[in-house]
Amino acid sequence: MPEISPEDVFALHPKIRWVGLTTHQGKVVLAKMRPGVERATPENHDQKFLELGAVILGGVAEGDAAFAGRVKWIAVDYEKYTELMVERDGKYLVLTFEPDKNLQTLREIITALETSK
Amino acid sequence: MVDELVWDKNTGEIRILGQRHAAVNMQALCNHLDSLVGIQVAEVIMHNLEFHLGKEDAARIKTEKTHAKLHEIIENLAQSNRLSGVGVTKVRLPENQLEPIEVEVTNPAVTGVSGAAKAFMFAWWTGAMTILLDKELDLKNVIYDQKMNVKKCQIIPR
Repeated sequence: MPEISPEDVFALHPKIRWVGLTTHQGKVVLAKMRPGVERATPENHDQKFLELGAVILGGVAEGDAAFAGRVKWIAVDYEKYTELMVERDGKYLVLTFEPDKNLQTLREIITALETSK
Repeated sequence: MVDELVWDKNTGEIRILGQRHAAVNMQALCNHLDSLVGIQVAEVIMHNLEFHLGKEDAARIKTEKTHAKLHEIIENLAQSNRLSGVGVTKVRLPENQLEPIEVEVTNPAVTGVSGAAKAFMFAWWTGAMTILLDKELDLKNVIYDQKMNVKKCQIIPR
């Protein structure tokens, strides 16, 4: 199965700003900003987050999976953007998108990700 | 460079090859990390830390000992292992660069082969060798021979 590309992810929703893909061992597969979108974080920060932060976030959440069932998604809502992390083909797919007040974009992106599997 | 262990009980200071250290119970730290975040994530955390420290230490020694040969730098790093109390380290470089580098530690302070304990020391060597050989390397096949009290790993080209 071909690996998901940044363009595939950007095509899911116009508000997606950035995408990263990393293995459960923290090996970064891709990290890309949507062309024309201004960065909120330095590039090396994104790299470090994918190497370690995403793995810790996912691993800690999965610690409860034995009792709570599979982790469907993890979202962190910041002032400047919202971050969403899902498991995709045995890797962590992380994306950020423009925030909104009623979480409508979050719902739309989750639906788009589920239908694109 | 200071080629020895400085242990000043009055100032509460340990220096190994010129760098300030603190003696901690690494086995307990590894066990705690494993129980806190699970063995897979604990291994990634320890690997990330040790790999970067290994790179930094190798780069520092390489800069300080500009005329030193590769085996002299490796011996210097192995000496820092002994002084740190992690065990007695031997590194075997293969004739053929495609074959694995073999690292073994006799009387290792940390004997586990999963979770944080798996990456401790050996990820440090992987980072150090990445700098010394100037190529991307991966840690593989971590085993512990209980009878001989030797922990071993292979470091292979990525």
